[in-house]
Amino acid sequence: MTVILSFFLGFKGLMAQNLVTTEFRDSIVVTGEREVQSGLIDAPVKVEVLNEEYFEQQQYQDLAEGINDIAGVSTQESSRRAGSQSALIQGFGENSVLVMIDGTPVSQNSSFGVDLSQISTSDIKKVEVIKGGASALYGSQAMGGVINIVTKRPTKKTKASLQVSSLQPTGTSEGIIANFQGNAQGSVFGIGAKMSLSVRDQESLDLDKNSLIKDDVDYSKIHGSLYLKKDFGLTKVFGQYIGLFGKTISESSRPISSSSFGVSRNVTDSTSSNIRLGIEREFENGNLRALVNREITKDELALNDNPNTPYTETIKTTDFEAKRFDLLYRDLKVAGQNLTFGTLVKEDEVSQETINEAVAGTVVRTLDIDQKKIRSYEAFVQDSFFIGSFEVAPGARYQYDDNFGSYLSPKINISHYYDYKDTSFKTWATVGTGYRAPSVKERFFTLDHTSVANYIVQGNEGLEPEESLSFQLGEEVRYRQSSLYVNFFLNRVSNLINTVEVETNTSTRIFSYENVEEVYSRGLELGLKSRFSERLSGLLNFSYTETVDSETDLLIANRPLYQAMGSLSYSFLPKWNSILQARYTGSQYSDNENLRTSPSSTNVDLKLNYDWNKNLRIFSSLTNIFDNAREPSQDLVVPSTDFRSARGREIFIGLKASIL
Amino acid sequence: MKYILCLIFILSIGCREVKEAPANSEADLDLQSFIVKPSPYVGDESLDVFLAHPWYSYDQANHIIWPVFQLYSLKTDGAYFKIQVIDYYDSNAAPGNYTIRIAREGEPPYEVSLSAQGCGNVFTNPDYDSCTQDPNRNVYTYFDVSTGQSWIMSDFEASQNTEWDIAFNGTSGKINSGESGPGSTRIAPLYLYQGFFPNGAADFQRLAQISFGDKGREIFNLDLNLRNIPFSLPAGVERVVNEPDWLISEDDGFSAKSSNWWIVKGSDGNSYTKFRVLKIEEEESGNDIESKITLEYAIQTKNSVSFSTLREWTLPLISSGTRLIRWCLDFDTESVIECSESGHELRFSSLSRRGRRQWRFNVSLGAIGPIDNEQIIDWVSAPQD
Repeated sequence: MTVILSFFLGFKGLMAQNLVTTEFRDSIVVTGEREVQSGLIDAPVKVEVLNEEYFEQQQYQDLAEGINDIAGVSTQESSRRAGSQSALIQGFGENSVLVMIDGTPVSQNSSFGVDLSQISTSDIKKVEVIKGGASALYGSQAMGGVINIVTKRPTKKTKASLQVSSLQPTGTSEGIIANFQGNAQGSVFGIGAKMSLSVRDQESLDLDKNSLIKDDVDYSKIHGSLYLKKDFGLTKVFGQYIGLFGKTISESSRPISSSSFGVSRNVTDSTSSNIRLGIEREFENGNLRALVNREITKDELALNDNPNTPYTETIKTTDFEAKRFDLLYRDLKVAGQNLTFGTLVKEDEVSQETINEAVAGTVVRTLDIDQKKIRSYEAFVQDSFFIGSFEVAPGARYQYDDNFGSYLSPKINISHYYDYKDTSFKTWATVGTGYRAPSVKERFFTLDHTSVANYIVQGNEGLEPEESLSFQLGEEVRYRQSSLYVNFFLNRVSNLINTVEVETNTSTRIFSYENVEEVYSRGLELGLKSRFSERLSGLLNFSYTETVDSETDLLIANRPLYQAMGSLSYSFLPKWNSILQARYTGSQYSDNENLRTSPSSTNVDLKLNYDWNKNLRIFSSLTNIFDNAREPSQDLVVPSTDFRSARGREIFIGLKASIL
Repeated sequence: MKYILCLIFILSIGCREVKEAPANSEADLDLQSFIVKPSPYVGDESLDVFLAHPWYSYDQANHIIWPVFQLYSLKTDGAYFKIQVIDYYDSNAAPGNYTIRIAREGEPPYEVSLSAQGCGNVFTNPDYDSCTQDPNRNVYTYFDVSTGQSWIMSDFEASQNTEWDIAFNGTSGKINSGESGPGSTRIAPLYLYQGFFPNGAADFQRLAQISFGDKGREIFNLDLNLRNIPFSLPAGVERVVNEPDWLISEDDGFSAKSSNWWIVKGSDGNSYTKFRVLKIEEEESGNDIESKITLEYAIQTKNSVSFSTLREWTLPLISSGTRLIRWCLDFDTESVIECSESGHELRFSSLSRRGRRQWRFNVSLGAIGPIDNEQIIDWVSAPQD
């Protein structure tokens, strides 16, 4: 690592002050600066940011593609939902990572968490990430970390743009992904308005026609949003609608007899509508924001459907509704203190029904969950003040849940700033406690998974809340146009809610959620970026994360120990920019018994961006140049544990035009 | 900074590894783990082996009949066969299409396909309910393990036919003996791999692995004794010393079928007696018939490793004028004792009523048999439990 550090820092003589738009310096930011409006407001805590320009340079179409570029953050396919990607931060997954759009959680506590691949980059101004349970300002879901998506805001000048692109595997005519993104913003009668629409459509991919199972899913994902705001002097009123619609069809195979396989089709059809109304008022000393939010999610799963029958064997429908009221006052400056505090009230309600039709015409409806509700109240305060070159940020969060009563989570972050000639140092140390009450999914849901594994997952109303303790210790060094940071982390979660098998007298295996003793994750993250010349810049990320069940001392499944990403950006001609990127994902266990493994993989991409003029950008890339992919899927009793993509080498091409 | 580098160093020492597991570790079978214990002694109780020791387990969630690769020993006409059902479906996943692996004792195995759909099930046959009520459609497929020949016939026809050995209808099975047929076929569970049933419930994942793997060939090839196992009594046969096996009933009276032997477990559980009904002599006495039964037997006592020399024991006279006789036979003392006393191996009963005579032998603890004259020579000692 010292060698790498020396290599990067050794280019200081080549650095220039005038940056072109395609370099990385500001595109991934580790910040201690206060973010505005809908951004993360926990100033002293380390916030890592991916901005709009970065997504555009890297040609990312959805958040799942981009979020991996932050050390310590990765994605994995959501359990029991093909084609859906959820986030892992420092080893903790979908139930422990809070995903927000403009500061308000989305799709939390619904059946499968947040699908990051459904969030288009078209409406993203920036994405901010806080790792570990470092901040008091974010709630129960934030034990592993926080991802906040800041959306674009209306501009006074009318603007509109369109982007179309397509991704095509080189070895087959199947599996094409078509993307459309449109944005329009402006101001009418003093009302700022912004609309965006993204449509992504992927064809299924079947590399081996002799097998029934397909290698990739067929999906269509729509992300639409509308934002309106009106300023009344120091008061701003705004409304926002976010719609996420997705339909995914995956075809796998499973035994239909003791000697032959049949197609098993899973169809997931979900709609999520999130409506917000808010008012924000600037005061001489601070800012007050009030927000009401209502989210309605409808989810329909057709599980293990036999496409040869004219009916659907099993349909599971879930209706989820979340209501929330937030009140936040920030930047209250009193006697050298900078205070932010707030409260929120929320209510989640879920209903779930299973519709079975084992024999044509005989439909059996079972109401699994009938309007179960969870209400909670939270209040928090975060302070920050300086003692010499130390910035101290203590905070606490109080949570009250209908079922679990009160809990107080204190946290503290201390940062030290030091400059020496051209080099600035920032050291941070964070201790945070976290608390998460079981979600409605864990408490009430029932999930049939009647493949050959033949099991059912059922909720457990007797669950206890998880509690966590998080330590972060880091150092960032900035030298002219280069920076390096290292962050060590240790997160311990007790009463971790995990899936366990319940003893049963029947042949069907039943799993439920239970609190397990303790899980810890520890490791380090390293981020290095540098601008070598006016035309050349680079970044390197590395993370080592071990997530361990303390009781068994075995690694938790589906979490690679090592991940790394390196990227070089080079502008070889005016208007041209090229990016060479390599991404490494280490091998990982695919089961909690640590018996089965998924191999490591390294993907190398070459990307080209060409600015034809200020209104037209053309871009293309050759991804996974060395065609590193798993073998075409086969019909197997024991599913393959190779988590690498089957898509292999692909060509991506697109254009973006500003039409207004 | 130096502290951070130090920490990196410390952490790097303790880094974990993801280690590859040995290939196919999940498919390996520990074949020493089996369910059926080869105790050969059976009591006077009929048993439907296909119900008590089924060859399949039903995966209700997926509606799949998974073979559990149960090994059976089938005894017919003095020959022993190892039998294993390895599939219940054809290539189109249609149920009722058996694939059976068979091997005559000491010979290599072969596989046969047998269509035995009967009425199918509610999923495959919309007319299932009425079909099951129709004896002409709800029929078994009958199979001769020696020749490989199969037939479809009605239950009544099968009850008159001695050629078949084993039959299937859907998941049901039966053998040619007892109430199903005139034969003396016997079947016994030989081996069932315990690893398929962790916690007593079927592990369908494991069964599927084997079904799509070697289909239980490794299990089938186990070197097992096909004879030293409990050939339970078929439905309709109430006694191990079954009358047709030792008694020939003709118009002019009873005679002995002396070609069959039994090994009877002693009343203390540690001694054994092999015996046969050597002869039955009958004389008319007025309106009655007087009968004399002579047994031939040998005893293996508690501390012996083989049977003693053969002896004959003629039981007291049986008169048809006596309505009910109940004798308990103690081979150790060659005496008839009170049935309330312990120490007897066999109980003989005779019931004479309205000119109809019925004779029975019941065992106390269990017996093996019938064993024919040729085979009994090999049984120089009794098999232990």
